[in-house]
Amino acid sequence: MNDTAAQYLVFTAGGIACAIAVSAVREVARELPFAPVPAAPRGVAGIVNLRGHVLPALDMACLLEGTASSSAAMNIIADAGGTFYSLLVETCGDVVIFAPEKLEPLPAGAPKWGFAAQKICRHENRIMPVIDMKRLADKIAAAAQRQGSAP
Amino acid sequence: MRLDDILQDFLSEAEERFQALEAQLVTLERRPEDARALAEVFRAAHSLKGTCGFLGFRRLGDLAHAAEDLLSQVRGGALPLLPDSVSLLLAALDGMRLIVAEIKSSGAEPQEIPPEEQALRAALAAAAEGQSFSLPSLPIKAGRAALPAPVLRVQSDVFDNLLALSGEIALVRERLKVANAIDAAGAAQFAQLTQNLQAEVLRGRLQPVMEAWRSLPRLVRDLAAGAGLSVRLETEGGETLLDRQVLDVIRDPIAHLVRNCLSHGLEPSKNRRAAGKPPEGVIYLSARAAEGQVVITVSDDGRGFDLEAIRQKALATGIATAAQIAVLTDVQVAGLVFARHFSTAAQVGDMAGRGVGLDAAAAQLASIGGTITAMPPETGKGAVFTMRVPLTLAMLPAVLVTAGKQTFVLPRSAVLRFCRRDGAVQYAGARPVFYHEGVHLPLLSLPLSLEAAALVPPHEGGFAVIVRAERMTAALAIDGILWTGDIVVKPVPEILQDTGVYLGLALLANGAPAMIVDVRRLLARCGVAVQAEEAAETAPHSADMQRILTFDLGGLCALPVSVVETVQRFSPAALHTAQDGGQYYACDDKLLPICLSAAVKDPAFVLILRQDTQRVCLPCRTISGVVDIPAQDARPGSRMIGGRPADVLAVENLFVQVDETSGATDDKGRILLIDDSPFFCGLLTPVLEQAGYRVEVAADVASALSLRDHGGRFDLIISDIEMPDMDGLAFARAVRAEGSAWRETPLLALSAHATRHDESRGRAAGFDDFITKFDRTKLLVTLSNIRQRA
Repeated sequence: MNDTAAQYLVFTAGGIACAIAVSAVREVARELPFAPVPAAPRGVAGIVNLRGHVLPALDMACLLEGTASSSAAMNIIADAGGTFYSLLVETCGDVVIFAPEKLEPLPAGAPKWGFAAQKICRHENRIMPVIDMKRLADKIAAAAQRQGSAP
Repeated sequence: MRLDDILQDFLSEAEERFQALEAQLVTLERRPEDARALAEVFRAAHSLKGTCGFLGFRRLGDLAHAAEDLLSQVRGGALPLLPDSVSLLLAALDGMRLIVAEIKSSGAEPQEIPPEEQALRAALAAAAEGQSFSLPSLPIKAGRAALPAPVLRVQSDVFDNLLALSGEIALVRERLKVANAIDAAGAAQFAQLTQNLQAEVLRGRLQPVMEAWRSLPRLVRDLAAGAGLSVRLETEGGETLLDRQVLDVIRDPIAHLVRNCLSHGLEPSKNRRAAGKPPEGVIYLSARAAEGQVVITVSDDGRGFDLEAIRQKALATGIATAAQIAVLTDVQVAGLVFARHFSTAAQVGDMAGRGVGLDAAAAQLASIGGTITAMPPETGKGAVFTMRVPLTLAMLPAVLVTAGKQTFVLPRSAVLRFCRRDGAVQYAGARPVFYHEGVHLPLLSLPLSLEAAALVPPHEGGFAVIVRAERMTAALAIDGILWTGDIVVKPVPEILQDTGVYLGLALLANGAPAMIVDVRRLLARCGVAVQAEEAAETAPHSADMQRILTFDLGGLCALPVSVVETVQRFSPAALHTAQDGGQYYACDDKLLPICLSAAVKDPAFVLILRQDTQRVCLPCRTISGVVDIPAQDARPGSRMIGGRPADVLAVENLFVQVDETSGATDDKGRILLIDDSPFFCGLLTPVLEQAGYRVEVAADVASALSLRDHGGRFDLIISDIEMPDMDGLAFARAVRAEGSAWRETPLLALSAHATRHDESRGRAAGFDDFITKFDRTKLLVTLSNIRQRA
């Protein structure tokens, strides 16, 4: 195994398979106590209670696909530079190992999920976005501010 | 202690030391002959110099040294302490502040000395030599707010108590491990321990309120000097404790008010002498704890409120209309100074007059559920501002409501009333309004209004909560109330902060999170009109005026607006006659008795009147209007109202007449409800009424028993357990006592937390059943079971 190779957790949301660095994942939980938050920025479904810590829950299907998820059953607790989020996803699968050189930039004409990823990887003939938590959180916050400042 | 730690402590406490020294200097300036005050200042400067030298901050040490030199000359009697020298010493502290800020940002003391610091050093040296000097100007913001100290100082006994509590909790944990289940006594003990733990942690967050006014002695001195005033600041109650978070919020409003005293209140010595006052003005600052709140007053002995100028200004800026102003009391006029964009200062200056001070202060206080009022004691005798703030923000008295399958928390301070919605929803154009106590309130539906920032028509049925924040009143359409009590407030995650309609969030007993609605911002965002002043609301309730509705019953008649639920256009189709000749009017699918039915031929309108639980109809020809008249004129009888003779009807008669004929209504019985919390009674009464009961409320056991002794008879009695004076158990024993008229009446206990132990005690005392507060379904089921048994 290459020293610099890293582990990635594969999950699906909105029918899309994605990867997220295991180093950014705190834990994976089944359903957590949840409450929707009206007026939340697009892509933030609400809040979850993780053993007394309240985290924003991101609707990954909405963020990746543009459709609100109805079948999210798992919470991936992910770290975006010290701030934690719960990613609402449908399934969590394997942990795979990629060497850094296997991560490629987004293909031209980036699809919707360019919002959440800067890199992709190829796994079993599928192109998977590699979720970049910091980028995702910043984009949501920026979109929320635009939304908020609109009259 | 490591050097690093000492360094960190020094930096975090530096501002506090500077402020303490400032306050001492300002005191010394007022009493230059006070040798002890001088010795204190000297000692403080000396120790500051020593610490700086020890930590290797050369520039800081040099400034402290120069200041000490000057003070040493004064102490030795070589130099007098002139106001200019005090200004220079204060400037030296500002110079040190700048250096500390640099150290904090860069981690080290920069070697290069900026020119203004050079000038400062030169001035200090010259002053110490007794030579003339000029005050250097330093790039420090005027009236700077104190930096919030990152260090929270906790009294050591708090930690001792926390340790003891954690030990006791560990004991319960061990018992739990052994028993593998928790028994009732264990649960009670655990509940008590966790409650103590919470209280102790909250206590640890409390800080003396003087933290919020440490910077003021200097501020007052500088501003007074700039305006040519002679002013002294006096404080009292600075040791009153307050939550750190609250402290941070009130700091600016207090400074605003003090600035306001200087700019608007206090007069120059010349004018004061002419008015027979001591030449020196006084700003008086005090704090005291009162019932879970802290009351802070800022007052001065200056010229007081110019009520006429305030009226003029309010009129000129369109804050209120002439008609509104005409009915305002003096206190209400003074309250106008908190209106947005209000300022009477003739000149916009450094101190005030920008019209952003007091309204901003009021808004800041409102954001933490605090209030502010202005009181003019007597013309020319100064002004008093009174702020009330909660002791802590960590705990919030709250009401939990459900709406659209979601749960929300409303701060209890914003909730006025809770009522049924049926029949009271009307439309003003496309906007839904809720008719309540003679006023049409905008009706907002939860959760949609949070999202759409608009008045959205709610679905049918359900309840309404009347909410109020910062002179905005509205009704929120909800499905029901789940619970009320104290909740622990958690901050909103950063990504949700831009939503702007939440105060925080809470974790509910079942582990689910719920958002706390910021009622003020929700109402503002939905465009709920701000009442010009309390006038519109308080005038009819004030002791001397009453608002009445006048209408035509063949002659002009009047009734208090408070008994009029709605006014509808009369529909002949809704008129029903019973076989015994009694007349009824169908309203919301209910047949309401018609009172004074012979009075009017061909009515055009019908008034729906309500008193307690009874509703009756009064058909009339026309509605003349709503007027405020003196309360003594609102008593039944003939009067001149608006220049016309009118009969004020006796409300009791309208309802009593009906009482005898009201056997036909859907009446499940009379309930006596005993609870010392008017809020809770307000919640429960509509629920019971909707279920078809007639409810009488007693606020305490004594008045309930007095009802019994005066022949009051009920089908069922519901009593709270925990009440001051006589509690529910004693009440039950009195009800069940030999010879009591209520011996056979079913008795139901309502309690916030009923354990099995409580229940058995309750049953032994004579209660028939136990219900947990806010378990509405169980309450109604139990009621109907008991009724069937009876």
